[in-house]
This record gives sequence, structure tokens and C-alpha cells, in this order.
Amino acid sequence: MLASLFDFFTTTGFALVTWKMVVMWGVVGVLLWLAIARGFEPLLLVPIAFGALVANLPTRGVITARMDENGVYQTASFVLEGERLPDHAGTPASPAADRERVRVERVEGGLFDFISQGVKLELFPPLIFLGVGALTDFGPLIAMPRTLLLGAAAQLGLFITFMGAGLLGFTAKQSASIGIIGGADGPTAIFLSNKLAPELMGAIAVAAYSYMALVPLIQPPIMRLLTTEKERKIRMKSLRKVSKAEKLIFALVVMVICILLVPDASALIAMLMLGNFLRECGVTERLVKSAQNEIINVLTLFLGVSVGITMAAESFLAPATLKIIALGVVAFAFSTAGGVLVAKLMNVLSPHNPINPLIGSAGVSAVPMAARVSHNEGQKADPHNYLLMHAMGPNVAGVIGTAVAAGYFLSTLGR
Amino acid sequence: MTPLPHLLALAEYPGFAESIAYQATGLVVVFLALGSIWAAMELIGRCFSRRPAPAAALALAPQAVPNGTIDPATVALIAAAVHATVGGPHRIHAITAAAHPVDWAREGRRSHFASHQIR
Repeated sequence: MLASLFDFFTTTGFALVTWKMVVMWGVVGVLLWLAIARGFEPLLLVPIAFGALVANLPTRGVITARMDENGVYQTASFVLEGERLPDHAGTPASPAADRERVRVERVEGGLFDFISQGVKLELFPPLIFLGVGALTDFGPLIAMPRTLLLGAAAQLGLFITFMGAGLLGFTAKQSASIGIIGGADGPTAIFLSNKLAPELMGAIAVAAYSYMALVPLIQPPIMRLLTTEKERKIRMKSLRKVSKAEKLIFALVVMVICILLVPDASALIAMLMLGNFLRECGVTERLVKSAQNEIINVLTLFLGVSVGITMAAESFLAPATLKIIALGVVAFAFSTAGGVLVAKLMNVLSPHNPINPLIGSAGVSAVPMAARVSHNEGQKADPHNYLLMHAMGPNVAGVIGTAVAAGYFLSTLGR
Repeated sequence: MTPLPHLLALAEYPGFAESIAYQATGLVVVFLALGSIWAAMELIGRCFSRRPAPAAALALAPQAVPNGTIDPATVALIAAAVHATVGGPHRIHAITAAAHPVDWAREGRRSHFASHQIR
């Protein structure tokens, strides 16, 4: 009987637990604590943490994973079983000499193998952008379109971090994927890293969402360092009212210009603007509600779990993860600084209609947290100064700017 | 879509100068994209701002305002707000105090702040 019990023990998961898995359980605990106790992006961090826990348990029939010889950790790769079919007599030769016809009889894969295809095939991030577009009011940006430049300036951190990552030994593709953390846009970071550096996607996603939650801690010191008390007290003119037609035209203009300039960002930009067009046209209320609620919620859940699944100990517990976390702060800091400094430059060039430089930091696209930080910092200098709506302009411009930057990285590195 | 030739040559581990050039190009692309949108929206915005604003006065005066309970300026303000919100032809039948205390400003802020937490 003892021997039988021992034999049975070898079939359990206990025998397969490694010390690295135990360390990852600790990481999962930290992520859950951040999400639940501290409220750091819980909608993403909770599914990510659970996915990470599943990835670090000796599961069976849940997900297939293997470490390639080149060090790339592959998840959700299917095994197809089928029968090779003979070519029909008389049919023209196939263009590809090695092309075969196979009747698929069984696909081996667990639940997460299928869910993760949404990330691998790059379906989830653009579809989440559909919901983001449906939730976003571009009115403040349309009322003051020059704040688009602040959204562009806040992409500075992406490119600075690209160089920093290169200096730390990352390849160009990996550097671009790490740099995009500075855009403070989780779906875009996942979208880009899945294409350029899938082996780093878990660490990049965790860093991106963690730092997005830390925006109220990271940004204010930089904002105060780069601005004077007088600048922080600048009151801006009230925003004009924006008509429905303008909002509709804006969605089309953004989509056309961005796709013409960076076609690789088409999926993100097109879905973002489709969601926004649905919102603003006023005749698709049911679709808007679905995009704002059911679609984005379901996809956020699947996206988080799919990202968490990539965080197996073999790939996550590496020096690269620590470097990515350090570089993430650099990216956020330079993006914040870029927005503030360009706002100051705009004031020099156009002194008759000054911009409060604090809204420049909102160019990182952590919506609406970065805008709230600008507003709160402004109120510390002048309690009667309301910057929130002014800061929403660069804030939503940052979403577009990050998508464009991702398109640039993809068009230059993604092939 | 074929990338620009010089960008194709970006090494797996680019040198310092190459990296700087790459970053500068990227920033220019981002500024070009958002700057183009700015220019387009500035032009479009001017067209819209030149159009005469629909007069709030078109909103019909309320018919059932209790005399002496509300001043004309407040009535005009409410009529303008209704026009801006509803748009198109409409008629205000009555202006009465809310049965329960409401706090629209707080509700607006709550709705706004909650709108993007999903990300």
C-alpha cells in the first residue's frame, strides 16, 4: 500500500514543483496585494496575477509551454494530428513545393492555449481599443488641438528608453518593446511586445500596468522640478464647446492621417476611432454600450490572463525582468519631462495664450490618471485653478501618440 | 508596405549614433502625425467657429413658470442649458424644483473619473 501511495505521489503535481515556481508564487502574492490592497490597476493586475499563478503550477491540459533553444518561452502552441492527403491527380502543382494537404483530426490544446490566441493573433489589444475609443471624449483635445503636440512630446521617454535598453544589452526589437512602457498604454505595450519581443511580454505588461498605477507618485516630483511656482499658477482660457460634427470629423481625420503615415498602427487606430465614432454619432447606442462594457470587460479579463500565462518562472525570473522594471521608470520619467518641457517651449513661442506646463505631463496616456495628477498639482499651487479638462486634451492625444510610436517601431523593426 | 531603406539597415544591436538617428526619426514621425492632425483640426475648427452659434433664445420660453418664483435670468439660463443639451426643436413646459436634492456637479465628476478606469 505504501508503495502504491508513493507511486500515486509521483503522478501528483507536488513532484513537479520547483523552487522557481515557489518564488513566482511570491511574485503573484505581491501583484495581488498591489491590486487588492493598494488598488493598483486591479482590473488588469488581478487577471495577470492569476494567469501567472496558473503558469507556475504543474497544470495539465490547461496550457502547452516550452522553452526554445534560443531562449524564447513559447506558450499556447498547438499540436495538430491528422492524416496526410494525397494530391488530386491532374491538379496544377502547388506554388510551394513543400505544401501538404492534411485533414486535421485532433487539436491538442488546453483552455488557455485557445484564450491566448487572442494575444498571439493580436486580437485583444485592438478590440480593447474599440472600448477605449467608446469611452473617450476627445472634445477637450478638439477644443484645443495644439495640445496634440504635448501628446507627441510625451513620447520622448519611449525613444530615450530605446537607447537605454540597447545600452543594457537588449536587441533593437526588445528595446522598442521596453520603450513603449513610457507610453503608459497597456494594450499598445502588449500589442507591440507580442510582435517584437514575445519573450518579454509578461515583464513588460506587468511593468507597464504597475507604473501606470504609480503615475501619481512618479510624475509630481518631475513636474515640480521642471516648473516654477508662477508657471504652475497659469490659468488657461475656458475650452470652447465642440459640436458633434467636429467630433465625427476628428475621428475620421485621425484615422486617415495615422493610417496613411504608419500603416502598422492601423489595427489600433482604426478600432480606437471606430469606437469613438460609434460614441459620437449618437445613433448606435447599443453598440456603444457593448463596447464600453461587455466587450472591453471580457477582453480585459482574457488579456490579463493571457499575459499572466506568459510569466512562467523560466522566463520571468531573469535579470532582464529587473532591467525592464528599472527602464520602465526611466521611460515614464522622460515622457513626463518631455510633455512639461514642450509645454514650456510652446509658452515661449506663443506667450499671448499660455499653457500651464503641468498639463504637459498628462501627455503620457494613462487616462485619466495623468490628467488628474496635472489637475491636483495645479490646485496645490492655486486652489481655484481647474486644469482637469485642459489636461484631458494631451492625455487623450497621448493615446494616439503611443499608437503612432508603436506603428513606427513595427514598420521599422517588425519584419 | 516597404520600410525606408536606411531604417531597414538598423542593426540588431545598433550603435550610439545609429540609435540617436533612429530615435530622432521616430520622434519626428510622431510629431508629424499629431502635428498634421492639429493642423487639420485647427482648420476645421475655424470653419465651425465661424458658423453663427444657434441662438439659445430659439428655445421657447417656458409656459408654466410660476409667477414670482423664478427670475427671468435664471429662466433664460435654464432654457439655454436645455437647448445645449437637447438640441433641435423643443418646448419647455415647466420648471420646478427637484423633488429630491441632486448634485449634478458631483455626478458629472464621478462619471468622468470612473469612465476610463477600465484600462
